[in-house]
Amino acid sequence: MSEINTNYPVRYQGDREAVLALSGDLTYKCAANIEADFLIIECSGVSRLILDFSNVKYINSTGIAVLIRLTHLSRKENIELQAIGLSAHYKEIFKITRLADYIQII
Amino acid sequence: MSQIMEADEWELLSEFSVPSELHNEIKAVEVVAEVIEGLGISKEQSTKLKTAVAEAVMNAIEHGNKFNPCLEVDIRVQANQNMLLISVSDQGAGGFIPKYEPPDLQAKLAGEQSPRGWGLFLIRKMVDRMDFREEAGHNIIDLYLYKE
Repeated sequence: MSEINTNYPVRYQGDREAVLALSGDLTYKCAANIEADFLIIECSGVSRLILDFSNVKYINSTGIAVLIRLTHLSRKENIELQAIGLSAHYKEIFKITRLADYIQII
Repeated sequence: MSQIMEADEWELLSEFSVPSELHNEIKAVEVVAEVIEGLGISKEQSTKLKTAVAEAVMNAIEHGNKFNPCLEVDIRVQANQNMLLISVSDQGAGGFIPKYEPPDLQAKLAGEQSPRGWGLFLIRKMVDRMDFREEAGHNIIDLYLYKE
């Protein structure tokens, strides 16, 4: 759907859903790349963005901040966020930080 | 605290340092994970402790030593019969005893607060007890974990 390359691989499922495959460590260093990818995905008109954490090895507090910023952006654009591939540990972190209230864990 | 200290003698398992550069928190976590292997810590506890240690070392690098690579973060791993104690010490000038305040997610989502500021919150949730102290001008955070 998109002709612009994203930093992380993105897969479109129909017209309304995109899956962004994050990888490596999720820290403040990813902020610019993830926000740039969000802007590209948002332009495609999707209503749901699925974040795939299957290949994310480490998320620290600065990575949580990146996800909060992403949540802020997605709420402004009425794009629903979902998370797949989270380990049990990071599912718990999503719950205790209450990120799970805004990013649905699948 | 005094009850914990008097209950049993602490055995020093490891003491090491990392330079104050970001990502060295991962190196510190790897060393701690190796040291505590075989001590009867469950995988779930170990995973939580790794997150807590990483955040404590990051705090020391960023707030205590202010990213000065010439300054090191010291990590001490101790254990007694019931508990593990990981102490993380910076070499800053002291005086940085952070005040714990739970993050306000609503304010962060509204852009009224920085999205950052989750380190102490995560540490507190990951370990059984977290104490701050100042010793010889160093800020030290003690992380206690009960063995299951």
